[in-house]
Amino acid sequence: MALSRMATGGYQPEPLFRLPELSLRNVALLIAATLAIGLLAFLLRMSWGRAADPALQLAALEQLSVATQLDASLDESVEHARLSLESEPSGLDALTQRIDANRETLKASFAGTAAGPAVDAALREYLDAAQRKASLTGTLKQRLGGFADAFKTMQRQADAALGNLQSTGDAALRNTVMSLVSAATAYGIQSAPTNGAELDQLLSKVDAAGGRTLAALAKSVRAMRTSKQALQHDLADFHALPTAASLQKLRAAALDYNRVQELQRERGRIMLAVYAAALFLAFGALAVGLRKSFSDLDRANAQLQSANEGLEQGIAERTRDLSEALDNLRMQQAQLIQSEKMASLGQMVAGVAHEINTPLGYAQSNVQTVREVLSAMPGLDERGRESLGEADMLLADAEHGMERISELVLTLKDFSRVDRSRTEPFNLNDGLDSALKICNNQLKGRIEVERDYGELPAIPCAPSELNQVFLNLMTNAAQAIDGPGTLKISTRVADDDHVEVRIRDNGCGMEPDVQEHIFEPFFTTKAIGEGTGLGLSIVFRIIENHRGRIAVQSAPGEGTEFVISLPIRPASGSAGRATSGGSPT
Amino acid sequence: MNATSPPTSQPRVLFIDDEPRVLIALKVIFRDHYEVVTANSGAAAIEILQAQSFDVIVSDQRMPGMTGIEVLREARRLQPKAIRILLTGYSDLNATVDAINEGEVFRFVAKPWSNEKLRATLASAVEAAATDAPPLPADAVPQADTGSAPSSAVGVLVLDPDEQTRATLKGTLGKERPVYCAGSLDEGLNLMSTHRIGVIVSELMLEGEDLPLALGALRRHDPSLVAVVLTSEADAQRAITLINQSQIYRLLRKPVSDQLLRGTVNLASQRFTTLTKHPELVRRNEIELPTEPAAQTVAVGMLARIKRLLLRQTA
Repeated sequence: MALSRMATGGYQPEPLFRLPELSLRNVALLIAATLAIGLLAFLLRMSWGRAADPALQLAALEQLSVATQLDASLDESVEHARLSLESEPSGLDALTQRIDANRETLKASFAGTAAGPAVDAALREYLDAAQRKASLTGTLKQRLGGFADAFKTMQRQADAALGNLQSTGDAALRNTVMSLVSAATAYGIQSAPTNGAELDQLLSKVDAAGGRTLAALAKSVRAMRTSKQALQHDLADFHALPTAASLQKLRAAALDYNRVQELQRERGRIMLAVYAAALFLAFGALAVGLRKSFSDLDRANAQLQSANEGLEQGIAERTRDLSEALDNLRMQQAQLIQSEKMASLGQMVAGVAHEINTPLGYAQSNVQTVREVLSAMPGLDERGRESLGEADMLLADAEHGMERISELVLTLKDFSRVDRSRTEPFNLNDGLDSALKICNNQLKGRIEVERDYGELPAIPCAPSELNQVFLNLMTNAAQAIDGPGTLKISTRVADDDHVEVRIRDNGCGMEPDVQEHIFEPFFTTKAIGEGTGLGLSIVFRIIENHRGRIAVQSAPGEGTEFVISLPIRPASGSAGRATSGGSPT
Repeated sequence: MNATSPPTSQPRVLFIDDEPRVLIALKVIFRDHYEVVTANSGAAAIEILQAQSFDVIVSDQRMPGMTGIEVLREARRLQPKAIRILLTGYSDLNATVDAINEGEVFRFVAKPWSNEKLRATLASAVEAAATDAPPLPADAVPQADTGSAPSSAVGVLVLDPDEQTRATLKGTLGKERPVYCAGSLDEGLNLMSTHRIGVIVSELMLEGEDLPLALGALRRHDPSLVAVVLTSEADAQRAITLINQSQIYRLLRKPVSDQLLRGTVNLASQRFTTLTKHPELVRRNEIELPTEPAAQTVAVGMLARIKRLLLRQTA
């Protein structure tokens, strides 16, 4: 919004750099990228983040095994202690201590694994049971001690009673006592005695026999039985404690927890793998897309470049065409200007010729008439004849002057060739003379003209055009000479096919870079307004149209020479006309 | 013409120019020898021509209202006997060609003129006009180009360097009269020595030849010869030379229509016939020798060459 407001809010200078535009597409891409990264983090956390130290778990399980072993050892020790009636159960204390230590370790190790609630509950249950088992073990130990004492007492009493009976010899009684003793012994030894009723029957028999020893025996048997019953009760309690089961349960819970965890991690890993694969595919697709767009871009670039090159070439060609067209146009313009100039000159000459020749006609005629009249006058005196002679002389001068004017008009007519045919056989020497007369005022008194004319055949040409060429070169020569100088004009037949005209001055000459351009239209070294720059381009074109050549040789300070070469015979197109004129005579 | 000529022995000359000073100058020069009448416009001249007859009519070309050619054309209609001269400071190409074909002028004199030369020109004009003979029928008979003319026997020489043009001309003219074709002057002279030729139809530009000079020489040799010149590159200066030095009958610009060419050649043939019958009439077309000495030499040389060729054949 801010950007767009900035862009539309009137004139803003072009910023040095621009933020990437927040287009809908860019926003969507940004969100997609964020989601992809978030999902990746989540999956990573899922597969690795909640994984407890496997060593700790292993240690906990180890401790669990130890606990199970200890529990089994305790059970065994208790059973063993129950059977070894004569001695005190000695290993129990150490075992109890180890179990206590183990309990603490287990607690600590499970606390380290931060297992689930099921594991915690199982652990708590086991710890409870284990604690109670420990306390029961203490009680049991005392009971065992008491039972062992009672059993020993009973054995002593039985020995005593049997000894007594030996002496008295009451065999029946003796058998009874013996049965009682063996029953009591069996009762004491059996873990779950079943001969309680038999024992009670025997006891009552013994009681019935009376005697002191026998009563003591019965009493000890009864004490033993009571102790045994208490022991049996405690043992039942002891065995009833579900330590092994809860250990089993704990183990199962822990394992289950681990399994679930593992399963979850596994699932995470699989999902991660799938996701990675998907990402990989996405990246691949992106890469392919990028590759494609790059190659598109490359191709577009190449096309653009080639188009650019084509364009440049086209522009170069067009520029060349245009400059050619411009040159042509300039040349045509120059020719137009020149032909217009010549046409105007022709019209002017025609008008001037008539307007001058008419007064000149009667003036000249009248002078002649007057001279005739004067010469025919009858002789007067000396003085009169003298005045007459003087007058005749003056009139002769007047006539001369008028002849000069008449000649000038003729020269103008000759030069412009008004109403003359455009092309005809023409002697270039005549053209040179005609041009010399026209530019006489530029040369007169200052520049000496050397004429070295060879004998030339009349060549087919446009005389008016060649006259312009000659006049132009002579005028240039006159302008190149500052002060007195020499203009040398020579003609000759150069070879069988060409005549040659040389026009040389000893003027200021030209630098090579000027020489290069002198035949181009509108090129001039003169000040603005003094020259049109058309002269030599017209000269060049005229000579070219005549199938001739023009060359220039010039050195600064030494002068300039133009050499014109023109064909003697007409072009082959009109050759038939020339040859068919050949006569058989 | 029933014009009333004053009873005087002096030849009558009419000068026409819009510049009165020219007329005055001319009058001063010629009043002693001729009876001089002047007019300062074409219209005035026509008026005078309708009333009086003249031997020589001299007119300027560029005049307001009516050009010199128009005046001379009218004069030719009114007084065919009178000799016509154009005296002008400048005449454009068309006027000069018209001076031949329509004005049938005797001379073309440029201003400023030399009194001496003008006197000579006028003298020869007066002499030409003095040939009192039946007027040339061709001059005023426009229907002369209708076929069946008995003059068909007059031979025509076609002189043109281009073979195709020769063939075309022969095709156009050949039905009514014998036509001989030549590509060069020498060839033409050969033909003239062996055939009776009265009319020459020639291209102006002959390779290496000066046609006005050659025609002049031929006319000198056979004055009754009638020349029709064709050209594709009309040139005022040449036209003037053709008037003064060749007295050609017509100057036609190429391309020429068949009808015009046939008509012109018919007229030329009749003219030849008339001239042969009345040799004195030839004087009306007296030609002038070139003025420059060099050209004169060439002209004499040309004449000698023509004579040599023609005589060799006849000998």
